[in-house]
Amino acid sequence: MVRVPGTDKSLEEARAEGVDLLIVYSPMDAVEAAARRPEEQVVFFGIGFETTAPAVALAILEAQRRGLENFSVLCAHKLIPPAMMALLESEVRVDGFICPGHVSVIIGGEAYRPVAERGKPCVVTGFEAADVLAAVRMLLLQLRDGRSEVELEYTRAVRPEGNPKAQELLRQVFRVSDARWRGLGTIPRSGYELAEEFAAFDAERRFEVEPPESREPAGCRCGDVLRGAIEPPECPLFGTSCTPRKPVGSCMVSTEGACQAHYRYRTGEIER
Amino acid sequence: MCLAVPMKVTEIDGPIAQVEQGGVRRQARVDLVEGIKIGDYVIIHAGVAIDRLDPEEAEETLRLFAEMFGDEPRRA
Repeated sequence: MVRVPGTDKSLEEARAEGVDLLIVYSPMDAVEAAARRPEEQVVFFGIGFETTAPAVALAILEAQRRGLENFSVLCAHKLIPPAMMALLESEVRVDGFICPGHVSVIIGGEAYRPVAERGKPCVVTGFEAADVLAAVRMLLLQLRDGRSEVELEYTRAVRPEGNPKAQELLRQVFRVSDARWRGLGTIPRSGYELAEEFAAFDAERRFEVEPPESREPAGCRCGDVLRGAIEPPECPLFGTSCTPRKPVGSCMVSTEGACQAHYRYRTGEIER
Repeated sequence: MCLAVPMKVTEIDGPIAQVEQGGVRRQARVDLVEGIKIGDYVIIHAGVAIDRLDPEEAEETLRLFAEMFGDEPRRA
């Protein structure tokens, strides 16, 4: 997260300029930090999909239980199924979806039913290389047979109904809202904001900050890469001004980004 | 972002458990997993057990991998 380029700078660069940035393993660690530093305001940057949102919800409930008045969350959580539906509305051609395993642990395979009903096979997939191969095989079999169903490959972790306790927690703490996605624009009902009951923990309401309009770096085509409209090397910055060592766009930052994966593995060489 | 690892529950104290894997020990919230008990394998993400791993399904997956890819079963 700290290396992701922002409109003006990354959090890493902000830290170099003196911003007090604490990197934590769990949102709960940020609650502990707030308890330890009662004189300071601790803002947790709540990012991630349905996998991560329950951990942030637990942290908010914990801060509430302890009566902490110096803990808040900048809530930027995103939801996967609405983004998939938005992709189907775009001009991008998608034959089927490898659905994310750990998001699905929470929301369950059934969450993709609307996508399958739109004629796109969905396979919920685990994280071993063999899982991905098995899922591609399952997708191909669906396409061959003219089926469009939700199938689970990652059965050791994912159930059709997901984790009901986690879903209940999400409903308690968050409300579904329109959300802005980098490179994709605003997608209706594709994110979370804090429920009214937890407004006291909402950093956006606690601090009056009016952020400037965000913009992507000139020439960066992460949005097109994210939508599958182009391959990473088709971006003019790829491998020249944008590399894993000095990423310009968000897709080059982590090993999970399409551009970094392409950069690392296209030649068989792995940058260390 | 959605990286999560399987870890084994070794102690439980209310909503908090000690979990370990490969010599790494951590504390994690386990109150999102129904009926958690010592010895369970759970998937840990950002300090929270998001669910339990099903050992029978894991065995079955390994068997399917072996069948599909003609490989000896390995740990998944």
